[in-house]
Amino acid sequence: MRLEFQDVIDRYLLNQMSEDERMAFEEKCASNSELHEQLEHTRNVKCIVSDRSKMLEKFRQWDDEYEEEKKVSAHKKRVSLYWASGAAAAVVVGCFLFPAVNNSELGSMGNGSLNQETAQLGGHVIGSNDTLNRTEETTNRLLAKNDIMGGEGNNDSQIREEQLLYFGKDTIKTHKSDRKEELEEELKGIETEINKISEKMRGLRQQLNSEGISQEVYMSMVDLFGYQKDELNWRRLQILLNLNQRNEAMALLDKMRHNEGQYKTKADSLYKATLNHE
Amino acid sequence: MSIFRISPKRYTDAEYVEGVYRNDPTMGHELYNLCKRYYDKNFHKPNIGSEGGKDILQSSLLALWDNIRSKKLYVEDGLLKGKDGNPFTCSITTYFISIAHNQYLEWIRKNPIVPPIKLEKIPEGFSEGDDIEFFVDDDETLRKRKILSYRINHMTKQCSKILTLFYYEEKDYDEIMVLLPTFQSKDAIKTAKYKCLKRLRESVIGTCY
Repeated sequence: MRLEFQDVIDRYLLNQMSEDERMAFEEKCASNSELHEQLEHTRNVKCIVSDRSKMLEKFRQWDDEYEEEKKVSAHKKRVSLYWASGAAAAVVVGCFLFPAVNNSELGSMGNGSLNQETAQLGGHVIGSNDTLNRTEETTNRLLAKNDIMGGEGNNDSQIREEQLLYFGKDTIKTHKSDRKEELEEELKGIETEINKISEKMRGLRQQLNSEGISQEVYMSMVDLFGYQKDELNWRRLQILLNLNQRNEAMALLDKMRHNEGQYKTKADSLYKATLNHE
Repeated sequence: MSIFRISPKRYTDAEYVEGVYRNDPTMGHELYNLCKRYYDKNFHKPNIGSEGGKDILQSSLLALWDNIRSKKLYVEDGLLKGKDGNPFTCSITTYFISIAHNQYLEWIRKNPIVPPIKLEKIPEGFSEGDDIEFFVDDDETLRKRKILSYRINHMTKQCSKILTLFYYEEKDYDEIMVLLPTFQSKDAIKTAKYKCLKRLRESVIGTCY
């Protein structure tokens, strides 16, 4: 091999020669075996190096996709774990709630426990004092109402429509004036909590940008905060409906049905059913 | 889209090999994922670090792809076969790990962090882990290509960079000087490149004759 041959060989292989130059070089190669051999060797090296580099690029791309898929898979597993935990918790609460609701005196002013509150709301849904005597029917409506309000009840759309009719007819009456104040107070509290969570999420974003936390931690926290926000918004919706703030409730439903969250589908169904009813 | 993925989709070993041989990008990708998963799970060597692990994985994958494309393992009548046309007796992942093991020995030889492996009865120009039989080929041109391919996969990082930048990325000497600041002049790069080419040629000739 000769160093002085290498420049002209490289120009030939990299197509940097004019047509005349190429022809002249090929003629020279045909008559010079040493030049020809060096050309063939360089051509083989060029071919193998190019091939190898293309393979390595592919491997790098596949590696990035592999790592990305691993992250997404881990994230999905976390989300499914939250769903499973939430469903399990709902089943456990439901197991306690169902007998309690069955046994409670409807419409009574209890000690503010969940089953008492649900009973009161059930009475309000009916919209008439006469229905306080129809225990079984009211209990069924309560259970069906729980479905639309986030419980694990029957998804029968007929029952849902019937409830919405009641929502629509309602003039929600509170037995006590301070009940309404309680709900309004709770509503304010929820709005404050939601604002706090939004602030925390902004803080997280900053930490991620400044590389204070990893992408994985960021995604986990975002999931958790998102979940908490959904829960609070759903409770907020319940209160707005009970306070007869229909415009605010519909605006919130519209927002929830467009956001990816655990209540997206329910919000969408309720929104559409409400519009149909109107 | 399924949240729950019980196990990754699998193909037969013959399908992987046939796909890579035909340059099917989907099968290439699937085989890559299979080998990487297997490697991450099963290949643990002490003291090579994450960079060493990545180097070995990369060179093992290149070797596997080379072996498939040079028909060292191939598919005939739906059956995976190895040298001498005999049916392949192990899985593709086991084969891949055996390549990785050889690449690990080669890596240790170049990066002695453990006591060097004793070389016994190794022919001139080879080291332990080289598969000499791989270079046997009736076609001399093909044999030379195989040897050259092997040597290129095992050349120094500097040679690899220079040749890749010049012949694959088609960068000129000015650009290469910026990317490889250890070189002070274009002539220095030219000379280094020439030496890399010369070394490769000599190693091919030394192996063949």
